[in-house]
Amino acid sequence: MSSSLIEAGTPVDDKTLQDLSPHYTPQHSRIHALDVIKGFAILAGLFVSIYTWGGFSKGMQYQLFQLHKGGSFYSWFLANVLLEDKMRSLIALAFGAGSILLLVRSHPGSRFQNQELLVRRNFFLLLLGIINGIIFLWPLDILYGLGVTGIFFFSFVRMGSRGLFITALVLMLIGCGKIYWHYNDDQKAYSKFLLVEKKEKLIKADSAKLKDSLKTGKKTTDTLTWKQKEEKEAWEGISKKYKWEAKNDSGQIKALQDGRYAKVYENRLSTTQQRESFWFYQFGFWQFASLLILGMALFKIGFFNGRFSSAQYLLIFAICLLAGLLLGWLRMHLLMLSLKDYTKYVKINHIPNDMFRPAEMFLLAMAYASLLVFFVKKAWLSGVTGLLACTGRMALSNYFLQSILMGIIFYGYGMGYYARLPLKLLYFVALEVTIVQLVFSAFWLRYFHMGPLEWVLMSLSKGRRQPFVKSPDEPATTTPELQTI
Amino acid sequence: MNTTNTQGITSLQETAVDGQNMITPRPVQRAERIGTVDIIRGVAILGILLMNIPSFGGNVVMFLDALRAPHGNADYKTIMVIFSFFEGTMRGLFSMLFGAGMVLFIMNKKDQPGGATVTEYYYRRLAWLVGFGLLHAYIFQWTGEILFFYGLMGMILYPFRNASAKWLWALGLLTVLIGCYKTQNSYSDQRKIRVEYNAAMTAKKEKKTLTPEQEGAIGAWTDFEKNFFPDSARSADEIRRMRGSYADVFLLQLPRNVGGEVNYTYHGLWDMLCMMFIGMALLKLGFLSDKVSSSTFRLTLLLGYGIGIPVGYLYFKGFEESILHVGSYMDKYTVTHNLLYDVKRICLCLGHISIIMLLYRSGWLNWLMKALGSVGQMAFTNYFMQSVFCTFIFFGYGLGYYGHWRFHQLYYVVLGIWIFQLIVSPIWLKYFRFGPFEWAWRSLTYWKKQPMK
Repeated sequence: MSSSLIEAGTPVDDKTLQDLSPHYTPQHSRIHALDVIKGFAILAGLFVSIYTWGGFSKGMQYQLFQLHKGGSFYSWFLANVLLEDKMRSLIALAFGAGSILLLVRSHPGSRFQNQELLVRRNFFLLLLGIINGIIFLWPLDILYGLGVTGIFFFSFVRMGSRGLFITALVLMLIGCGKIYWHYNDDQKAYSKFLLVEKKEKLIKADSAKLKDSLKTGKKTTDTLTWKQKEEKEAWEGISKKYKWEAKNDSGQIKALQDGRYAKVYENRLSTTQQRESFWFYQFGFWQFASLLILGMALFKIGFFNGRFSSAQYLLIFAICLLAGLLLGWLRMHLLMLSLKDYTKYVKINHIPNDMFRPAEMFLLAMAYASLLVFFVKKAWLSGVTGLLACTGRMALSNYFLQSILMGIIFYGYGMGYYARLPLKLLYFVALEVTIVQLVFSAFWLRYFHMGPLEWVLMSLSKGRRQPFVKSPDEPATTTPELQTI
Repeated sequence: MNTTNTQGITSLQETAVDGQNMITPRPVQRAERIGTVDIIRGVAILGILLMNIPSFGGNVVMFLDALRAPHGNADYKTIMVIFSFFEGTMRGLFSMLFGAGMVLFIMNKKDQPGGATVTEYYYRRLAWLVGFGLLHAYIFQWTGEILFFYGLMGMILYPFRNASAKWLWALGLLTVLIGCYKTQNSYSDQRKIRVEYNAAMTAKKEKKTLTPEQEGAIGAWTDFEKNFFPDSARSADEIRRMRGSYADVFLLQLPRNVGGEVNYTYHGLWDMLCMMFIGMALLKLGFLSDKVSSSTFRLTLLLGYGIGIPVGYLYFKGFEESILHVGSYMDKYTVTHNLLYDVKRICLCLGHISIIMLLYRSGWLNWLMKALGSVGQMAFTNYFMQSVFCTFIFFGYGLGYYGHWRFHQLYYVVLGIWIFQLIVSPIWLKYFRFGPFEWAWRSLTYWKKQPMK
């Protein structure tokens, strides 16, 4: 083994390898549990992202929430608490862990040293994210965020696992803080509004008095200044945040059902750009970063290698799940209050309803990861986990395949089912896609070393064409590392 | 890591790199620095204040007053010279040197087995720069801050460090084209509002009843036009807040900082990337490291200024018209003058570099070159220092002269700061190895206290 990092394609030297990941042994080129996690997250994520694809807007979701009964309501409630934002968290977690793996394993087909390879891979991922967002019209794309945070934080790989845990926690708390400060602006806007309202009453009273007797010597201003008007309008705008009427969505529905790609593009573009710029700067960056670093920390303690006992994994799962669900329940409770009367909510409550969303993501990602590693440890489940791992090994291709399929099904240039299917059918579509992807991935990996986009990505990153088609004399197992954990 | 493939860098490494000491990544020693790069950086860092001072010193009303002033007026003359000859070029020079500096940072170091690699140091260094940028924007309250962006852009440059000069030029031009496309695109979007407004107004004149869309078009244009005619009440309010406490200024600047960082990163990155790529190309051609013949410099000077100055003037006149008479400007031009911006900028930057190099070679003004070199060596510190001085002079928590002076008077402040920095930087470097901010940055990058002396 080479003694330095600088040669192309070689892993780090033994000592560094040990430092970086004490529980990693060079014979695994993949870690099965990570593939399982990715596969699970990609598939389960579709059950919530289909809301956005299929035109079940936030407003409609809130309406359903307020209805508070019926199968649709319960399914939405569960999906919101258990899946929404948690699946991308799980992906970020596996991505962070995978970053270390990419750095420490050897890459015979690479023209670049491992760190440069990682940076290049993340750049291409970022580009793919932009393509997925802007060309394939998926406004909630996650590849962009993974690419950016991946580049930003890869040098944290030298940090010890304890340092990484603390960093992940701090980033998560900053994420909560950002949401709080955002809410704090609402509160400030409201208190300014109250002052203006008071002033307005005074003006009215004064002008009434003025009518009564013109002799009152008091000097009064009879209108609000431009600033007061602005402050008034600012709050009036915010207070409508949780108000929804069917006509709010009608413009978007019309545009997305339109038969021309250009029209759909135009409608989605601003949402995507908003997400990639403002949302990412304010919120997304911290959420992705904290999970990515957590993934690195877990990798370093050997979490994904099945180092702990089954009971320990179950314990972690139970504790994190419980804590995460409590926070989720709190969020839903506060959301209900916000929906009822946001003005009243702002008056009484010190925290916004989604303040602990980053913590929820953190905890539930941990919980699911634990459970999945636990499953991987169970030999009798190897059929299921093996199948999920196939999907996970082709996570990128499957993610794009979802974008393509959803675009064809829901957007106007395809079948145009946007906002036309009831919730039940949306789930049905997601289920169909899940089955297709599970089968397709297992089938594909029989004949090819990796998914098509994985191949493109790795060939671009390594600067060399990677082997793609399996030669017939190779063993036809779907997952060669199935037994290694 | 590949050593180099172009002549510029090879010769540069021979002279600048001491083979024995280059085994482990560590900060660049003074002897390894390339003098001319520091001189050009010194010019850029002083020059950047020319563009920044209007934003420190007053709001848009002051700026518009200068533009509307009679053409013989000192304010108008100042703004004309600044916009035709300097606008974008100092930031351009700085971007070029930043790109070149990143290549130098990598080339000067080799990996050490077992330890952190150059790649890691490179990215750590930039992550800290992003951090300094946030500090500069939010705590030092300078909304025109650039370090945040440079840190992020530097992260993009890394995979291109070994590219040849030809490829880097191609990348530079490609990014210029993308930038031009985005500029023209947003101009066309704005112009659409004008065209719809015109149609609605014609309908109104013909006494037709207007559709809601037409009413909307008239409203949209009226709102848009308001940006060019700020009302005095708002302006007075802004000035009052800028002259208020630290918290007042902070709350006013906060949304500007956020918006600036988001939009300039997401939409404005081409503006920085193009100059960085070109800077890397120029370094590889030996243009920045004094490896090119004087006749070449004379030729680029002639071409750079010969094209840059007339184009710059044309750009300024277009800019002026588009600000003062936005409606008729949009009726007249389907393509915006802003497309000339990059042409003028690249030409003028080449001119600036050539003239600096020729002056340096002539040995004339040697004392100034030395002082500029010191300013450039402490560029990071001097950049922060400018913000400290200017916020102190203009903002309410200092002397509070915001909006107090006329446009051309601001340039006396610039002159004062220039003289101060030209004198203090060489003296500081006589006693210390680095400027204080350079020292902090290095220490953080290597996570180890660096020697100051």
